[in-house]
Amino acid sequence: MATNQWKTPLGVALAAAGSAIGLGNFLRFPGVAYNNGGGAFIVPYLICFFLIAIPLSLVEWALGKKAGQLNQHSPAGVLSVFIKNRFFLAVAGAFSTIIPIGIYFFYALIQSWCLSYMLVFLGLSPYEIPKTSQESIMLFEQISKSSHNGFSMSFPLLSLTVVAIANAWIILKGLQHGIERFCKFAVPLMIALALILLTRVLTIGSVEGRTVSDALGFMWNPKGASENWGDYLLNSSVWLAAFGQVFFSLGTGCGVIVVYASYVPKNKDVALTGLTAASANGFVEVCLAGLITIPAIFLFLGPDLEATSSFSLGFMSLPLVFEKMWGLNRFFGFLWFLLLFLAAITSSISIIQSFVAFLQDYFSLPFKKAALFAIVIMTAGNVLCYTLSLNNGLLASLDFWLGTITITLSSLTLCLLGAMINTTTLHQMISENAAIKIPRLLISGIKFISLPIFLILMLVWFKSGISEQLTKTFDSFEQIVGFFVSIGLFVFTSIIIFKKSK
Amino acid sequence: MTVEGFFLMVSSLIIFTSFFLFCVFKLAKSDRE
Repeated sequence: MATNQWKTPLGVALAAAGSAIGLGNFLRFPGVAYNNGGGAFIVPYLICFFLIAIPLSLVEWALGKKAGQLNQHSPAGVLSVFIKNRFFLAVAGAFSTIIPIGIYFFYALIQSWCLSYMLVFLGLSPYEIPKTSQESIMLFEQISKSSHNGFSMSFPLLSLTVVAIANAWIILKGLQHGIERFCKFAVPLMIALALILLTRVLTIGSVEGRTVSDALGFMWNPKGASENWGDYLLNSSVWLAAFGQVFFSLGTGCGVIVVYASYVPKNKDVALTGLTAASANGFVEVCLAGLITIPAIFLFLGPDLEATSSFSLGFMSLPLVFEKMWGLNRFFGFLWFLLLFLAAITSSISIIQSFVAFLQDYFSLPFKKAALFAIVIMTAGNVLCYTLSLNNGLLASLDFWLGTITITLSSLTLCLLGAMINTTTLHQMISENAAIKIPRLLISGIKFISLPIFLILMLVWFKSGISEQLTKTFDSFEQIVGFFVSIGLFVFTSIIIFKKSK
Repeated sequence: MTVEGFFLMVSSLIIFTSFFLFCVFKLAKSDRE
């Protein structure tokens, strides 16, 4: 078996699950669900997950596998097999290529924060475990360097260096010996760690009169239960939030699934592999993170949740929770950040691999050279984000332009492509050597259910939310840099794809 | 915790856990073959 192919179906499923399971599952989902109706949020979430994200994810697996047989492994290379117009290919290919590159610029930084916090809880850092909200905010500012710009030799830089080396080491080991082998132990370990933390939270009993049942109710009770919580289902912003969370979390349209799918051997399944990766992601997000993050914060810190953004939940509130967990507080704090670190590293390596595949496809570089080149460019992006760290402005800007706008456009392209390909052909591609029977109805649903829902939600988004978001994205120098980095990546990549495609 | 909250939580747990276990067992079986 070729070494640039996956060794086993379980290996590729775990690698894809590792790619999908990231910080979004543990930090973003609980906050978004809590802010959008608690338990009521799960109804639109389930509909988006099963009717839009799963069929689209299967399309990505099928397209990727087919293109892999023609020796195309990058997101743009995969699209080039199905899109013949050079202009459309350049635009669509650039969307899916720049998402992983730009996201890695800041994602490795967040990964380094997880490592720094792990070391704080192990007592191996210059910082103390925070005991008050003020101390927690200060620690986050020190670790994320969010109070100032500048490049300085410090503990956060050391963490970033370790993270960059660890990611590079796994990538350079290759697909089978690096990513597949690492994910085979990291993903089960992640689930085991989450189960340990969940058990700890559910067996705490009561803290200052607040019981576990109250804590679960705080997260899962439909907000406004006394009135009519069904109103949430008629609220377009709740649907948009569910839609955004499902796509962000599953990584549909991010240019990663197609890359992983392209390395699946011709005689192997992609249908069950894709479903397993998606189901693992949903299980971790809803059944583990949904029961840990906000219930733990409620139990220990009370009902006054000041902010529910990913960073405030994960890096400011939860360290205080672990500080208050009597007995083994350092141990559980360490486990939590180890869990986040593993979630981040399994996603990071999939992001780098996507860029490596692009360099191999479009510059015909051998694997080692492509990997080294990708690591150098991406590390330069990390250094830029590390230097312009004030208020995490550059990070937020890249997240908005690439992690929100470009992902939406890329997913729409994918949805249109899935709808344009003949249903029978698409169904045959997905069913080739499949270990599970995929109903044809699910695939034809892309044309008649997924695409219309997608277009309606996009219209609502453009009408209601995007203008407000756009006005907030040019407030600071760092945000303007983020915009130009994103545009620069798009222009440069689309020119390369246009020139190199025949 | 309200009845609605309990219902929504438990049904979500059942749906996602059973979907995940079904896929994992089926994949493990096909992996052995």
